[in-house]
Amino acid sequence: MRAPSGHDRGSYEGLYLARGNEVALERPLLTGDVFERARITSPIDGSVTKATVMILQHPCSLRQDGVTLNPVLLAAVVNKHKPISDWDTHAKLMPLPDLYPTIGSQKQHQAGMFDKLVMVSSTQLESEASRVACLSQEGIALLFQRWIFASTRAIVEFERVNEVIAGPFTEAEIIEEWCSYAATYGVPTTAAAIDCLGWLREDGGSGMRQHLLDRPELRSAIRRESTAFRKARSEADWATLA
Amino acid sequence: MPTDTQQTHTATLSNATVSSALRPDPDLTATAAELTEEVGHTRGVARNLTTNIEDLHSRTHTTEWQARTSTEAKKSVPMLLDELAELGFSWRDIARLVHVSVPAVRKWRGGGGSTGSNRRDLAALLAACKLIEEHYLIHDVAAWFEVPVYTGCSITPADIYEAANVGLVFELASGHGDNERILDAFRPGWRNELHSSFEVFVADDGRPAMRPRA
Repeated sequence: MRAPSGHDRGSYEGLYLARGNEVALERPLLTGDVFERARITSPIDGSVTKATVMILQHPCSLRQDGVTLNPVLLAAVVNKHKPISDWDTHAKLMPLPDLYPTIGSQKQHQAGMFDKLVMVSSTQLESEASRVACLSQEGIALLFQRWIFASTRAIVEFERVNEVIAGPFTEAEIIEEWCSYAATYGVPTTAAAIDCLGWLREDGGSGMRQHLLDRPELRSAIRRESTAFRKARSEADWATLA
Repeated sequence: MPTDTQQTHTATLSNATVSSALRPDPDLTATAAELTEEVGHTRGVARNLTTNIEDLHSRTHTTEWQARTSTEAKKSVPMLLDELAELGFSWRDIARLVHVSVPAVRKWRGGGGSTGSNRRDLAALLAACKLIEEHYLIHDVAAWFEVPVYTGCSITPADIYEAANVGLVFELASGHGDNERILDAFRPGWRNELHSSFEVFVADDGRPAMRPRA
């Protein structure tokens, strides 16, 4: 299984899109996101605890209609774990080295445990839990490669996994950008995300934009189109969404 | 119908012609040997010339790129970011190509946190894009950076640029070089990926999925 690109230099920055206060509020919840204080109900005795968890489901199965999260999401509990030297080993976990880069204690390095799976409430995550990290596209591809192996004993090449998640990852970027822009007009994130998804699901001339994002040669054109559309919209039109 | 005499005569002539053709003519052999020598030498000269011209082209690319970088570097960091975004690059692509994090780029957009070196790296990226667009008529340069160089292999011009092999990026854009040779120079083991045991296909929900290669 693939090691992260900076592994040989002891650098794990490439695994993450954002950590701690770098995490943008407008970013849609995505695979690999790490949440602190997620509420977990034990299926054995019903007891409730709080834990740090990492979302495992594929972006396409996180939401019912593209915007509304499924009521419960599959996640792995995140525990302290030393960085591993050989990424072909420790198949039952997703290493999260330097998850807390500024902390010097053992807490700095963590891992998502595939043998400690939990179901978490999306409403609770959004209202009470705190998102402390988002994985990069490379990080998500590494997570899926390991999760597929842990679940099925099959090794799928990193490049193929990366190819499959590139479209949904780009979609999340466009939604985040749209929501950040809309926020300057006072539009709430949820309303902006619905607005953006409506635009992505339109036929841009050669098919639904959301599906065209799966094709690398068309992504830049859709990004440009999205920026142009947002800039061309009048203040009054944005105000109707606020 | 030829008579028996005519047939014998024809056979005799034919044998004589063949024998004559097979008999080595010392003058002809010497001329052919000289020709082989000369053509071989000319090929060597042509090969050296090609190498020298490739080298010269690479140096002119670098010189022009550096000059354009200095011009672009007069712009502010937010201006450079805007221009790159207008080309269609994502913030993530930009961050990767100038070796910083996405949050760092986000900070720069707000006007803070960048160094002179960051500004030069952004200017260099924009200069490379403009050089490629103008010389090689690549219409959507951001898309070009994202598309794999070779079918079945995931390496893109962005990967090559990120690894600081700008010369190979220009060579690729120019269309003068053989893409396989460029990939050999960039990552010698790249062909291993062509033997991938899985393939990506479009599932019935219209989105990409993976399955074992048939």
